[in-house]
Amino acid sequence: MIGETGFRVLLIGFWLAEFAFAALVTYWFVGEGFSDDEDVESGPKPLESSGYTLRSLAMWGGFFVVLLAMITLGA
Amino acid sequence: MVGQGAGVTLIAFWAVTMIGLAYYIYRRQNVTDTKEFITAGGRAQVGLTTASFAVTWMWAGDVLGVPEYVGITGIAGIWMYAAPAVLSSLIVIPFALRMRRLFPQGLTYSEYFIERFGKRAHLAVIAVLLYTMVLGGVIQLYVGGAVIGGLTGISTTVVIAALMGVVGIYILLGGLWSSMTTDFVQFLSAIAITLVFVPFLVFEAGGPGAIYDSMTTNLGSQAPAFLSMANVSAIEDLFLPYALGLGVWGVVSLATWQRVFAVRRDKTSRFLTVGGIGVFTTISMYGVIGVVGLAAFPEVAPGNITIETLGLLPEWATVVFLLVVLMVLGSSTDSYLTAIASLTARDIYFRHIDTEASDAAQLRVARGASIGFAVVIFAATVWALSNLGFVRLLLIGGIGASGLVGPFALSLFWRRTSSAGFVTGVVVSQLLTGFLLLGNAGFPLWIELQLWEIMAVGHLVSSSLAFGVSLVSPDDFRFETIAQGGSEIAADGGETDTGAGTETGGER
Repeated sequence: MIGETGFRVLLIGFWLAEFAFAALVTYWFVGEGFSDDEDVESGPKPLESSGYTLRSLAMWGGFFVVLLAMITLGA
Repeated sequence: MVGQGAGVTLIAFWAVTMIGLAYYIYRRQNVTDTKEFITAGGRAQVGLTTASFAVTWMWAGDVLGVPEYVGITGIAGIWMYAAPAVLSSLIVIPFALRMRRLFPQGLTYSEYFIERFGKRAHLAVIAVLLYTMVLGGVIQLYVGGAVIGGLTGISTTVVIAALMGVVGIYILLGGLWSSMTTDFVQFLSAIAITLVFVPFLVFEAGGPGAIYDSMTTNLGSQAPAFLSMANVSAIEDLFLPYALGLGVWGVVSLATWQRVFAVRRDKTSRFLTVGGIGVFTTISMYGVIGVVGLAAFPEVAPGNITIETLGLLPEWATVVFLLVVLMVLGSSTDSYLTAIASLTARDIYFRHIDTEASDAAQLRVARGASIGFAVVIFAATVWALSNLGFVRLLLIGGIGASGLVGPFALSLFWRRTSSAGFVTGVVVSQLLTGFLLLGNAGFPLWIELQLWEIMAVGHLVSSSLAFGVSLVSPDDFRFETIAQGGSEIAADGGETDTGAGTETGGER
């Protein structure tokens, strides 16, 4: 059973994660806008590199580590 | 409860804002051809696409569903609900990268099946996708109409008609551009309000310490289980059916694929990753509503926790909550309607009815379909409200995914996958899972299975039949024959050094 401190940490963690998500997406949008208009003339961009894909997968790995830690520590 | 006047004002405000935004983006992005209407020209930036993807995955039902999960099983219900919902975003990545390697600028992913297998397989896919996407729209309106109607006193049918009418109009204007732009505003509104609204609710209930104390007191002997993240006692009923059905739903959802083809090609995995993980954080915030409900209303049925908990708030906060529901509902419903319009124009009209159709004719069909299917979704929702429960609706939607994901994966990564194997796997799986889910003891050969077992049967049957039949009657497919110009696909599906793809078929 999770303790009161753990419970508080959980609620604060949810809020901070939501805030970070909103901030990141807003930052991207403000910096990049709606569309990449260069694409109209030059055609589609090249497919992402394997290194870029691996970084995305590493983010997923981090997410599942945090999820497992949340379940384990919150047991 | 807020008054009818406040409810009507809120809906009118939302309608004017969304239609105004759609008109702005229609003019700004010059939405005058099918490529712009269906995939936003394939040049949408990652921020816009991530927001659109995430808010499409935040369903109106989540506001009721997550607190209900918490009411049934405690705080573990948060991840049991959230984890399957985001699983699709991870699973779809290899599919998305493969498809964008084959088709740098595809329109609908379902058109791949006519190139890969021919018309018979394509028609099977269309059938599955059509009912899955219509159900997606119905699921949103079902909950949204009930909640908004319930809290305002406006007739549910009137609410549903108004919502569907507004969504139909703004999709008619700008297609995916309208959907993604309104999604972005809906995303910001929903998240900003959640960031303010949920903490406000917590402090209205006395703050985290008081909530914790109330939970331990009210739950008594159940407190250790309900306050444990590792409480998996309800995993068979809550987690597994959701994971096996909706957990892979994103792979077959046209709404997902429109955003995969809309985003810049070099950002494909990033928007799926950030969007997926972001959905988890939002669902977790909805879970806090359930936690407050458990502390304040221990005797209330789990399905009613959200509504009861909102009673803690003053009327203005309930209006704010309704705005969240409207935003989340609109974003998902418009995505499914855009997807159906695209499916109708490209997969049905252009591929099967008039293969010589001009781009302008396809665009007219897409716009007509956005209104026609708005009417269909409205009628289906009204019918479902009288005849089906919400959970059953969700699970019927999951059947489509269980029948299609395995054969789709085989077709993309194994060149010997044959049309006969693909069609057999999809059709038999759909029929069998439909029979198991909707049948009863009065039917011959029917056996009672748990919901997650039905989903598992669907995956197992579709994948093993597609694989087995393809082994007996194999294809020897050359991927380069369908690869779009600019792709890097070799005959065996591997990668070339030079980008040897060939230009084929119509618009692709």
